[in-house]
Amino acid sequence: MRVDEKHQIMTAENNNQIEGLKKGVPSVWQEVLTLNGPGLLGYATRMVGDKATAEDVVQDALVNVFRSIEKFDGRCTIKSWLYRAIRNRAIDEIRRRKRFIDIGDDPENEYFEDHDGHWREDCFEWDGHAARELDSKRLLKVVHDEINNLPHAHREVLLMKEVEGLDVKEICDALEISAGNLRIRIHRARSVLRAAVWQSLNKE
Amino acid sequence: MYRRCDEVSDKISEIIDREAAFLTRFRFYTHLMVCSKCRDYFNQFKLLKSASREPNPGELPADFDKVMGFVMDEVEKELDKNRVDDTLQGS
Repeated sequence: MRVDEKHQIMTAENNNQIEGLKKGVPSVWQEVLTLNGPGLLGYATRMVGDKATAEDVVQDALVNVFRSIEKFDGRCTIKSWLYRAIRNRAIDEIRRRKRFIDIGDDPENEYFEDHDGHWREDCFEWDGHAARELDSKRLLKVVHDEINNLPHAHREVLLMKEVEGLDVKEICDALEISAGNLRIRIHRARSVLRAAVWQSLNKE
Repeated sequence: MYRRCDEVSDKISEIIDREAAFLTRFRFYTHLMVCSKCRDYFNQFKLLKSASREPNPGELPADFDKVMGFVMDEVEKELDKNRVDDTLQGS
């Protein structure tokens, strides 16, 4: 199936869903929530850092989505709309708990020599060390712990892209940013994560 | 071929997300053939991407049924309320 055909079918499915949601058809709501709920809940849990708060965030956000569904203009998918609602509610919660941290400088800035753009000596020493641990639970735990410790601006793009597997358009719609901006943010987030994981592995 | 390692590092995410144009990929991989530091750095990014996609072994999922049950109850309560309002307006 060609990409534009697939897009047309997806758009039609989305339009039928939107109509059902706006009319308040319980089976359509059930279908949309069952399909997207686990991902939304996982995303919220990683954003706010604990299960109980995440459950409250998702409940509040989805009830608000239900009450404001008339405002949905169809310019993005329902999935992006739901992620945007969860994200906004999660950020309120993060701000309330003061877990909102400025994203800081890109660690990559310190790795290179100014004059020729080559790596500085001993800028990182992770080669081989982590690769041997790829299948180990310990590495997975370190990576996930460090994702959870990232400032929210980095955490949210990595959660959507890597953990929940949203595509570029869905993430851009959910975060209301351009594809170019998203690319930069993802690269910066991975770079910060790499530095954090490396530090954590070397500490152990 | 990219001459500078900082140019290569800027392109890593585009490469691992398969968003880079052919010429970028060509210049990137030819640099990697001669630069072990950039190869290591690239491999670390790939490793992090794979690890991020695996489930966290230490994490218990939140209670999906409880949350969705609550939301569906709210949806149905609201729908019932609207039906009552419509009936009252109609009578």
